[in-house]
Formats: sequence, C-alpha cells, structure tokens
Amino acid sequence: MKYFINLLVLVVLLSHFVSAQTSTDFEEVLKMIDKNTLFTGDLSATVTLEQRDPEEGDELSKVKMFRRDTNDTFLMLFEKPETQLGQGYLNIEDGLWFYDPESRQFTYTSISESFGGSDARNSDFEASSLTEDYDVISSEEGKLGKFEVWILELEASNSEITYPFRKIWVSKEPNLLLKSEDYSLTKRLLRTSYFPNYAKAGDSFIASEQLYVDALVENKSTKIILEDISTAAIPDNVFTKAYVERVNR
Amino acid sequence: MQSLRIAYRNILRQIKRTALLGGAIAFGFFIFTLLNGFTSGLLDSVSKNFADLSGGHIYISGSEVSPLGSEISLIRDTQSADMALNTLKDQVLAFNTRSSARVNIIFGNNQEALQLEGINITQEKGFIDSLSFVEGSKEAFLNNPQGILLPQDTLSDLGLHVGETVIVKTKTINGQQNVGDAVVVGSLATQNLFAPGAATLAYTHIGTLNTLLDMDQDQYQVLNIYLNDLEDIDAATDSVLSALAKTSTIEPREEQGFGPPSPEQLGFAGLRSVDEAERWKGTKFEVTNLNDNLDGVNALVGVINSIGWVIFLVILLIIMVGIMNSYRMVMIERTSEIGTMRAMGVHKSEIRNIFIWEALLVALSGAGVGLILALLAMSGIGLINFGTESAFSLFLNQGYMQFGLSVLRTLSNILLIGLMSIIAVYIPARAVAQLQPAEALRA
Repeated sequence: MKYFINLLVLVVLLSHFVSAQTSTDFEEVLKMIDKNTLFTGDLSATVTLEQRDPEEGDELSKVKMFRRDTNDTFLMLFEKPETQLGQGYLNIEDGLWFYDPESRQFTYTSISESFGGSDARNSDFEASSLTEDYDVISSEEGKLGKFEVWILELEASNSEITYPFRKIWVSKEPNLLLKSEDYSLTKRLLRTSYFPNYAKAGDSFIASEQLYVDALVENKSTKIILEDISTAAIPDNVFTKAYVERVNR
Repeated sequence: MQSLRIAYRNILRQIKRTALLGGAIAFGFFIFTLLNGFTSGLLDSVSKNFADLSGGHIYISGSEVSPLGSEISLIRDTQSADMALNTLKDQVLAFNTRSSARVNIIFGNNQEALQLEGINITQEKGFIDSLSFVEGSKEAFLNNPQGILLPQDTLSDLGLHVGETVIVKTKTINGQQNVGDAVVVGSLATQNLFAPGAATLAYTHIGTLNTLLDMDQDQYQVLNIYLNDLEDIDAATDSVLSALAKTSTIEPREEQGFGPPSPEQLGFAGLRSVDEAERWKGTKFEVTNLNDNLDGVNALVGVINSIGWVIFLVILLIIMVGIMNSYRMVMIERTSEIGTMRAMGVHKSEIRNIFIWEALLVALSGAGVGLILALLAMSGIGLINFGTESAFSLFLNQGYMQFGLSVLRTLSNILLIGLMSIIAVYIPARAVAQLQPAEALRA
C-alpha cells in the first residue's frame, strides 16, 4: 500500500513537472520568436505592397521603412503611388502619427489601424511582442508544408491588444512565425497571415515576404515584399516630424 | 374720423398712383418678409437636423483611463450622469443614451465604412418615427434586436437588400478587433451632411452595439438631452457641468470640443495614451451643446438677415422719397380744393391729417399685400421637395424648405413702414396745411 501511495505521489509530481516544463517551453518559444526578429541595431528596407481588392481594384505601393527596435520607433514613407507620395507613418515616443503632405498636418492614429488601407496593420511593421501581448492557451505539433511546426493558440494578456485571439504556426528551428490566424473578440477569423520567406540581417530575421488574406471580404489580400534590407545605422533625425516634413519640400 | 374718410376717398380717386406707390411698398415688404422667414426657418431646420443627428441639444460624454493608461470613451458612472440630468427637472423634454462606433459593413466582396449609432428604442420612439424609410419599416427594426438601418446609398453600393445579413466589423472601446452579424431591416433616405468629413449614419439597438464594443448592456457613451426651450441651452449646460463637478472630474468648458463628441473623442481614431501626470480616476465628463455646432450657421443667418435689412432700408428710402414727391405733386393738384376746404372752416390740422392718413393707408395696404404675397410664396416654396440627398439637405426639413415668421417681428415691421410713411409725408402735409384759403383759391 505504502509502495502504491509513493508511486502515485511520484506520478503526480512527475506529471506536474512535465506540464510545467511544457508551459514554460511555449512561453520560451514566444520569447524566441520575439528575440529572433528583434533588431538591436537599426533596420531599413524598401517595402512593396501589392493589394488585391475586388472592390477598389489592385494597387501597388512602395514604401521606405526605417525601424529602430531599441526604442520602439519606426518611419514608413510612401514613394508610390503618386497619390500617396510623401505620406508617412511615424511611430515615436508620443504615439503613432500619420503625415499628409497635402494638408501638411500630422494626425494621431492607432497602431492597430490598417496600414495605408491595406490588409496589413501598422503594428505589423513594429518589432514582435508576442511574449508581452499573449499567453499560450493550447499547443500541438504539426506540419506546415515541409516544415515541422508548433501550432499555438494564444489569448491576449490584456484587453488592448488588436487581435484578442490568435493561432500561430511556428517553425521549430529557428523559432519563427510562419502563419497566423487572427481572431476577433467573438472568436471569428479576421485574417490569415503567411510568412513564407525570411531574410537574415545581422543576427536577426525579418520576414521578406508576407501575405495577409482578409477572411471577411472575399478575394481581398495584401502581399508585402521587403528588399534592400540593411542594418546600417540610421541618423537620429529620421525619426522626427521635422524630417518627414523636410522630405516633402 | 372725417379726415380718415376723406383720405380713403382720395386714395380711390387716384387709383393708378395709389397702386404704383402701394405696389412699391408691397414689393419691398414681400422681399423682406420672405428673407426673414427663410433665415428663421433655416435656423430652425439646421437646429432640428443637428439635434436629430446628434440625438439631442446637450451632450454628456465620458471617458476613463484604462489600467494600461489609455483613454477609453465610456460612461461607467451612470449614477452621476443621472443626477446631473435630474438637476434640469422640468427643462428636459426628453433624453436618450447612445453608443457610437465607426464600423465597416461587409457584404460579399464589398465593404463600406460608416458611423453606427446604437439607440435605445424605449427612449427614442420619436426619433425612430422621424426617420424616412425607403424600404423596410420601423416595426421591423423595433422587433429585431439584431436589426440595423442603413442609408439607401450603402445598400446600393453593397448590392444589398432589406432582409439580408451583413457582417459588422469594428473595434471595442479598448481598441480590439471585433465582428458581429446584423440583419438589414430597413433603408433610410441618405442624408448628405453639409459638414465636411461628416460620416453617413446607420442605426442599431444600443445593446447590440454595446456587445460589439465590449461594453455592458446598461452602459453608454453619450447621454443626450432635449430641452423644452432652446433659449435655456447655455444655462442648462452650465447647470449640468456644475452638478457633475460635485461628484466627478470634468473637462473645463473652455477646453472642450464643439458640439457632439467627435469621432476622435469616441476613440474611433484609436486609443490615446494619457500622460501619467494627467491621468484621472473614474469617469471624466465632458458637456457640450448644440450651440457650439451652430456658430457657423448663426453667422450665416446673421449675414443673410443683414443683407435683408439693407435691402429693406434701401427700398424704404426709395418709398419715402416716392411718397414725399407724390404728395408734393398732390399738393399742387389739390391746392384749390384745399383752399375751398379751408374757406369752409376745415382746420389746418385736419388738412394735414388727411394727407397723413392717405400715406398711412397706402403704406399699410402695401405692407398687407406684401405680407399676403410673402405668405403665398412661402406656402408655395414650402410644398417643393428638394430631396434629402442634396448638399443643402441640412438646411431643409425632410427635404422641404421651412419658413418661420414671428408675429411680433412682422407687426413691428408693418409699424415701421407706417411710421416711415408718416415721416415722409409729414413735411408736404404740413406745408399744405399752412396754405392761406384765399391764396389757395387763387391758385
């Protein structure tokens, strides 16, 4: 009997240890995704957005991206199309600002808003913060194409995260996001994002090809391609309103 | 009385001259009355349209700071808002509570952005009655908690029909993405707002919208108050602010926006992070009113009224000169007649009064005719439906031009015309009265 009780205690402790280990592992996976895609230096790239919209038609935009993850800032400056030339999104300490060269005014906008009317959100261009924003609520192993992946279900850790629920497909080595399904508060699928290609810049990775598919509007999607990726230092004055105004003169 | 009788007879004797002089007065009075009626009606229409669009005359909105330091548009402290409402007592005609959201209506491949107002059907029966349905009915809306009323243009753009289900996509008050289904139970005549950037409005039940916004069913974002008398609006706004200041944090009136809460205030542009030093506890209230929004319209009405006055004064001046000259002529024509009357013992003052009565009768008849013509014109124009889709629909009452005429103001204008006519005729009348009977008979 004593032997049986000892065995039971051992089994309970072991299962608890294994479960704790599993939970910690997946929090660790989120940490690794954030770490692998965080740039300790500066990052710049030319971003091409190919929007497919059954209502508005197809549109091609070209944007110059400047990113500094160490202080959570970025600047996105439109170069194409002609109608959006000079428009910019500047994320600095006091929030995200949209600059319109026609009115020459900055207006406050949200990180959760659509980027230039596309299926991408402004938040898609800032550093990943999965660890801070989400808790893992379930996990399983699976395959996505030829990749062995972890499939994790996430729940927002606070009520101000754009997507309250997400399901993500993460490559096992290195831990990178390959696919994400983003859900509303009512747990309805809003969009599916694919990250089929990553480029290595310095010690970090950046998704050089991204595809965002709208789950509510049929046949609406945005493909993003990053080129001319560079980790060269960017002058401090680039992340200022004055710079955005100056490039528009 | 004798003077009045003779004056009346004289007017009939010179019917052509009387008609010309009276016609000029009638024309002037017609134009002025029409302009006055138009500006007064315009202000009434704009006030009513603004009040209907924003749900009231006084708007109480609230916001709080989230645990993460973001400003969230919501009145959680409904008790303080109710107490402030109660301070107005008999001044309140009606009140309602609303929530608002900038939403995307999605149907198949198409989507359209508009502002969705969540309304409380028990509080807004009058408002629902005033909506102009193109298709569907108010009963269908009242009976379907998932029902949504969309502008007719939105239905056309989305290829949508009444009875079909649409996806409503929006953000919660905390900025999270959310979607829900709604059934289109009616389409409304599209109101093209004159205000630049104004959104097209759609309506649903407040409970349905609150669910999408992640708010409790009894919460709301704005408490709107309709007053019995618009004259009380600023005093009532101050009373509400004072009452709220006793229990809660308030935004000082001079630092507030104008009119109903703007989309930015309701968090449509995304959550605003509040600096640590500026954060507050509980609900911070902001109170605005209709007048804040009508400054531009009041200025426009003021300009039109001023133009009306200038036209009126110019016409009045021309009439006065006309009357003066006419009666100088009349004096020459009737010199021997006046001499005979004077010789028969008629007093100077009676002779003078005959002319004054003549001018007054012509002026009052002219003004009367002008008033009748203006009333006929107002009734006629008031029957024309200019539609609710024109850029000027904000100035119209359900597509019809509205005229407002103040009895007191019209009477004072008639009196003014009479007075000016008396002044104009007084000098020639006095000169005629001064004539010596012998000299007059020799003329």
